[in-house]
Amino acid sequence: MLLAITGMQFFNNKGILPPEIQGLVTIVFLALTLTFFYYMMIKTVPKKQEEQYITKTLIKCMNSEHTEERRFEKGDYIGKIVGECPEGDTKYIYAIYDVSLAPKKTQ
Amino acid sequence: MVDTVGSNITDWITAISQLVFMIIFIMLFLGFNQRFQVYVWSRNIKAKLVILENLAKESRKKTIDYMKNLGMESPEPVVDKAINYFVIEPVGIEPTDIIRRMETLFKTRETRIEGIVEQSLPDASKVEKSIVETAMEISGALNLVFKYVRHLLITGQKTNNWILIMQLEMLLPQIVKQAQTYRKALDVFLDGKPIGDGAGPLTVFKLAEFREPKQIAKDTVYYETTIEGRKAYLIKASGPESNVGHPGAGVENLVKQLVEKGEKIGMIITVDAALKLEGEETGEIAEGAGAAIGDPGPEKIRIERTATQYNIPLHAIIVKMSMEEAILTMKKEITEATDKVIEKIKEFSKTIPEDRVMIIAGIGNSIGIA
Repeated sequence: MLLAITGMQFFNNKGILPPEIQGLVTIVFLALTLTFFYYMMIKTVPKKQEEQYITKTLIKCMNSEHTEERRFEKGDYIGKIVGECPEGDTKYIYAIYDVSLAPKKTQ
Repeated sequence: MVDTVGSNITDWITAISQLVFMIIFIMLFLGFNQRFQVYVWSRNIKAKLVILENLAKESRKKTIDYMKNLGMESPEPVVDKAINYFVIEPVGIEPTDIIRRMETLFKTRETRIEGIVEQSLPDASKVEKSIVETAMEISGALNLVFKYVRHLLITGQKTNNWILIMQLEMLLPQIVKQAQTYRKALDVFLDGKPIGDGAGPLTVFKLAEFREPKQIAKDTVYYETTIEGRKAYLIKASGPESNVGHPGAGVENLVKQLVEKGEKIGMIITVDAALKLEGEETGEIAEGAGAAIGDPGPEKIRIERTATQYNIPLHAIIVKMSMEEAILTMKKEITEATDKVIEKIKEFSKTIPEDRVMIIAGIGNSIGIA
């Protein structure tokens, strides 16, 4: 229908639409096209998502391979003695680090 | 009848369009487009300026709250004094003794800020005082960024300098991102967590294995250990307080002491965090020659001069990370990278005779690392 009107408009000497309507139609079409492009631009821009991290504290025993990981607590620092291991040796904080909550993306 | 009405409307539309086109055409010649563009840029800058102002205010408030929790009743004047503290750059056109002059200025600043904190919080622990000093530094940096951006915007508007406004608008996303990172870093410091920049001190901590630290310079300690049968001296900033120490002075003093004792020094290794290039992996390590230390000059030159004076090979190992990763909580990749650094140090140690000693300086902030 639309194509038929457009075709008649261009190929028929008289034209089926009065000039003022023709102008309005053009403006409406332009506005629709611009809105469509703007919408597409917004849709294609990747949303910025800030990566979420959690701080972990890694505790180790001085003379064995025993390790345990827990959430960071205020007052923790690397080298802090935090108790005794089952074998009786000293338990200390070996590392404090951030780990990402989101699974790592593969390239 | 209908045709006449239609024709009249068409004539009006044509006349109005031509008039509008003429007006726009004349305005283009008068520079309206530029003025409009400057208006749009200024509006964008103002929106981002609000973000910067909020970041500065938030960090000031957080610092004040932290000091109040430590028992200070009204820390506002003290925080404002520290935030607005400035250092005047030494004269650069006469380079003679510029490093010594720079060192004097840095020492003056350090002593003054430490004095302000000591006076305000006499009963706070060393760690708490160091955190207050760092929080003041971060708040000061954010305050300066906000004020300077505001200054550039007002200057640009007053002088109608659209190039200045355009440059500011283009640079602002990066500036805001950095300011936001600084703001996040404040929380990390207030919690006392180790930061990415602590890769050097963490390497030393792992090598030292709870040996007794001895002071070698202000806020700087060293440990004695053995690596692959060679005696090794490990230097780092004292921890777990927020502090970078004086590794340059530490290396210089230690080398002098060892030479006096008749020890032969086989090599000096500096371990530091370094900015990675975009696309590089966090925690990647690399070796090179020179002093890996990012200070403005005084500490680095001490290491270089000492190595040159006593003809000691000077090696550097860097752990790569982004600017953001360097000042935020240490990532697991960086923690793991320190194990690779230790392997590299062991490799290096095998290249010197067993009767030689080595010095390893772990450069960086030792917050959260004993």
